[in-house]
Amino acid sequence: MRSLIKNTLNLLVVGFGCCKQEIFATMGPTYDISRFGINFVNIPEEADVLVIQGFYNDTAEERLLGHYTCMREPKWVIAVGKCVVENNLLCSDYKLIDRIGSDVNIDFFVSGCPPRPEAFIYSILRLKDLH
Amino acid sequence: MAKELYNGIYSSHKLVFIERVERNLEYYLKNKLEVIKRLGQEIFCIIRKDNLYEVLKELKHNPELGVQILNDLSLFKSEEKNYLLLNLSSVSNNFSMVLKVILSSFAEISLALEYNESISIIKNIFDTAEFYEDRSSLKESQVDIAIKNQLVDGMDCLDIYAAVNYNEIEKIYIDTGISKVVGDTFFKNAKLINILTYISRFDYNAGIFPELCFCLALEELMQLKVPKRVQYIRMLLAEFYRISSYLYFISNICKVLGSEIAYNQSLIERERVLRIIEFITGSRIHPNFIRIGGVKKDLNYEKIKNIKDNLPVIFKRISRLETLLLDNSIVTGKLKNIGIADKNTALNLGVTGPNLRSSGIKYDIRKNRNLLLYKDASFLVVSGKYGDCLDRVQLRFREMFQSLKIIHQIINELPEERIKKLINLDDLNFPYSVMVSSVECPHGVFKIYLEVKKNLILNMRIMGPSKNSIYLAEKIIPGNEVEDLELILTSLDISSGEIMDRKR
Repeated sequence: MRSLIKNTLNLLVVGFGCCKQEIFATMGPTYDISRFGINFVNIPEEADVLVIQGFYNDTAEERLLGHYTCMREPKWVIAVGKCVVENNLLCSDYKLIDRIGSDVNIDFFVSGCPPRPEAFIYSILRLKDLH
Repeated sequence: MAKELYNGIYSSHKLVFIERVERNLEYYLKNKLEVIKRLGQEIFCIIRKDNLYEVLKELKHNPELGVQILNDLSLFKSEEKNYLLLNLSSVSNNFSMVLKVILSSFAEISLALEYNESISIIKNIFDTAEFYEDRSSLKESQVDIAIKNQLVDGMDCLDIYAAVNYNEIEKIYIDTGISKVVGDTFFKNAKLINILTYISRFDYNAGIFPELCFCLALEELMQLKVPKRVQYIRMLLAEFYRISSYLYFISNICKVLGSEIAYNQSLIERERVLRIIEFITGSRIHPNFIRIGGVKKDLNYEKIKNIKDNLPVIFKRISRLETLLLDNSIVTGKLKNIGIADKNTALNLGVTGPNLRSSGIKYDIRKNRNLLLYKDASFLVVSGKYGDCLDRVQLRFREMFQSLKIIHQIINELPEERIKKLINLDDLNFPYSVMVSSVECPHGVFKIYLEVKKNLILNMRIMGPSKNSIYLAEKIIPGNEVEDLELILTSLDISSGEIMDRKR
């Protein structure tokens, strides 16, 4: 990862669900994710990392793929929570990973329902180290 | 006046009034009702579709019944028959009822026709029924602005379509199609044990309330007497979750307003409350703590000491946060006179909870019903005056102090009792039965309708209050400016979990 991107990573969180609370809890002073140079953005063109979390249906899935194609290279993807990593909790025959697996290349999986904020921060730090 | 006083003092005798309402219903609608039952503190009726208009007319216009609010309407299938489920309530007579309407058609095409027909009947009496029609055509007719997928939590499950004139919003339509994510198999023939662990996802900003509501329903069904200590522990956790949810709401408001210091302060306090909850239950968001007839673990000396040590700090910090945010004339100037919801609009749309109380109606299930052991605690039902955004923020601050007051009383009066495990969930064996129960969650009245047989759930319907808040938003946003849209929607505290519905 080039140092210019490495020190200002922009994150885009998509979907709605319980994990969103825990991801946004890292913005507070207790966990303070901004000390690693991480910002949350609202527009896919500005984002470097896509965070997939929460519950999806067909419409939301299309929207997610749209966000992914809008993002510029280089781009990374983190999947957060049980509903994305395995099957959906409220709809057992719906597996997001199988549906989008061929189009989206997922770098990290953070398991848990929902995962603690520390686990999310750890995944970001691993991403920085590896690339 | 005398009736109000009587209602206020003897909150434990609410059942007497419900029996009176039941008698009245039997008297006035004798031939038209198939079944009438009292389920806990609610009334449950089954009627045929031919009698729908007459029954609703009698319910609304008879002053002894005085049902004026349609809270929820849904279509569901049970044992190969189709039903329409109406959730009605009356503030003047202080009761709520569930009306099950039997539909005659089986095939999908004729069912859709019958559904539209019955909605047009209901629309003559309750105006709110227009929200339950198929409204997808509004999407095409008004698209000056379309907003999809917001970053703020609570606005991420909505698509907003608005028609604007320069900077002013003329019409707005909020589509919740993206939040239809629950599978068909989830509600049907699911085991009780599975549902008990999963159900807290339906209000994930305050995870304990769906669990509590579900367990209260089954306890009422089994006529189970729950120990006093268990009730107190449940109340304690419920109040802590209420505080954490309100603090999260305030952090969202601060994010929208751009008040960085208050945002950080509120997140610190929320973390402090969540850590107490984690120390008690072992989890931050989804507690999985409440069991039928009890709770998972007892409170020990360490946990009580931890709560006692933290209470004064939380009190001090929240009051500091209040002065920081609301003594600032820039912040109050932004919030004042925006998104005004008057009494009648809020009532008719079926809004409950803090959003209703902020427009000046003192309606709280903790006081008005016989919920847990809230009658032992002394607290005020706070209400606002004007129903604008400032009132909604201020009311939540005031309610947090009342919650702290309740926690303080519970901690000091916790009775010494031994909690035993009463029931093994595997051995449950119910006959076919129907149950309704409701609790006061931080967003309003959370209600669950259940159909149980053996140890399976045949059918379940979750009626969250956030849906009504969206309808309120559609009414109050026209006339405001585009830049205030996000602020008004955030101030209504919409919880995405409650809107989740069955996949189409």
